[in-house]
Amino acid sequence: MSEKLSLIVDGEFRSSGDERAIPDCDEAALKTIERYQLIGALLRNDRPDAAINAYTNDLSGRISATISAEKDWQLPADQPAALPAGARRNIRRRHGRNIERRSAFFGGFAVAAAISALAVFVFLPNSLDSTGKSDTRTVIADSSTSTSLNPMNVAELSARLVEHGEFTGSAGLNGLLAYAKFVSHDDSR
Amino acid sequence: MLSALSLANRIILIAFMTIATFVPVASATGTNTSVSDWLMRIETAPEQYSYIGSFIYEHDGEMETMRVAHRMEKDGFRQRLFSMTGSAREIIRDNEGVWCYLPDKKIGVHEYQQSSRNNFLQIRGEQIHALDLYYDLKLVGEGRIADRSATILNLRPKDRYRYGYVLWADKKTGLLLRTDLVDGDGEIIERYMFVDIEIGVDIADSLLEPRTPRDSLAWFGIEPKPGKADANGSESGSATTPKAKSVMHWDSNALPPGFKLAYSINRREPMADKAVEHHVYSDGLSSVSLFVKTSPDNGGATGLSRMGAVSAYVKQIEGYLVTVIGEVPESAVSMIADGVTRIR
Repeated sequence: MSEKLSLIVDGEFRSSGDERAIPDCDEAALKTIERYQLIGALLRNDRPDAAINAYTNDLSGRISATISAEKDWQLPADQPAALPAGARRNIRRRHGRNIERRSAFFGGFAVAAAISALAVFVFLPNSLDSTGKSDTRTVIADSSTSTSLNPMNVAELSARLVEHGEFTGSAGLNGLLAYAKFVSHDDSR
Repeated sequence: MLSALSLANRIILIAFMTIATFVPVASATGTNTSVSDWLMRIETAPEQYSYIGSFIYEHDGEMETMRVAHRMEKDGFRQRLFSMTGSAREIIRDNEGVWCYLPDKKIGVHEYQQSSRNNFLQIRGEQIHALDLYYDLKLVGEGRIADRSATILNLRPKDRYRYGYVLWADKKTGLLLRTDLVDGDGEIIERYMFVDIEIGVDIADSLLEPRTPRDSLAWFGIEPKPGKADANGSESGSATTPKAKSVMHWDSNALPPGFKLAYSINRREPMADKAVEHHVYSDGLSSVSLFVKTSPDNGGATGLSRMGAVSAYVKQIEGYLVTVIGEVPESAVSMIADGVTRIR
């Protein structure tokens, strides 16, 4: 079951030909899907109201909403999607033009990743690329002039940073500062 | 022999021995024991004192204000951290876990701690006396922070693999009142500083309660299984002798001078149910984490990145995603990442 859930949240479900398995999901599994979807929404920096409403309303409606939302997210960037225009612009601005293609994947991250991604430790790449090559230029943390990592990388790195925080002593006070970084973040700022 | 001495000489000898016990003496490695003692005081102080206060946190050109209440209890601690600016986010944490209240997102998230507490205390305790091999350790004077007298320590790195620290420790208790993280040129990268603090006071229950009603949020998270870390991963290690080598499938054969394997833990990503191998390398002051897990199909981008004082290097090896992250310069994470190999 967990493999199927993973397929759903990773956006690979339809291509696997396993659609019929959806009605067989038990309540716990469906809840897991919802959590994935909510986390995905949060990682995409959407307002989570819709996802939370989905979580608290009718079960079947919740699932159809989340599955159809997932479809929308997987549309190629040049096709119309059911997202509000403002949301699309905002996401594009923050994460780049190909966000729609890749965002379905993000829902698969764990709660820990969601926590830390909410903190949005925006890693600013020196020269992040898909080949692993990089230079060692020091980049001043200025989001107006630097290219942010895509959300998947931010979530991954942020989750790792929080876990690393259990061992960091540099902040003193039992790692207080690791949590201060989280609390201090505010999207609206 | 003592009986053969005159009373006056015995008094002088005893006085000399007493003084010798407390006067800092250079160790075989030349460690400045005064600074070492202060570092140990700083490390242990949060375990001894309750406190409440407000502090600022500066990073990347931003400044945040937060309030913290920390109460030591019979079997641990309870702490509340509350943002004074922007959204009223807050964190409640104790020995068992962390509860994050995010009213701006209308959610709460609960996470329990997968490793045991005070890990870094153990690491630093064992390595602290070798710090002067990699840092210039100096007591540089006294200052005043939050209306309290503070002793100032300057820990300047001797190479490009670690940052330096300027620490203001409360003279009376050892609690850190201010920390500046500085690069090799002495430029401040991050700073936090108390603007007011009360130490050793009673912390009322009400000060540790969240402002946001629990029921107003949708809660997510996982509960610890019996046995906590053992149920969700094994952990092992000390500064010099990691115990359960069996948990290790990966290691780095290229560590910056002074860094040693300090801790290993097999984590679980709670909902993805994937294993993540986590190793911590430390020089006694700075620490770097190595994470290895199976790589997602699309891999994601790899390379070097940085946020404030945090550097991270992500790469893929044999279908595994390797992440090296820590509050160290990029040269350190790059070196460690380049040395990562599968050992079994």
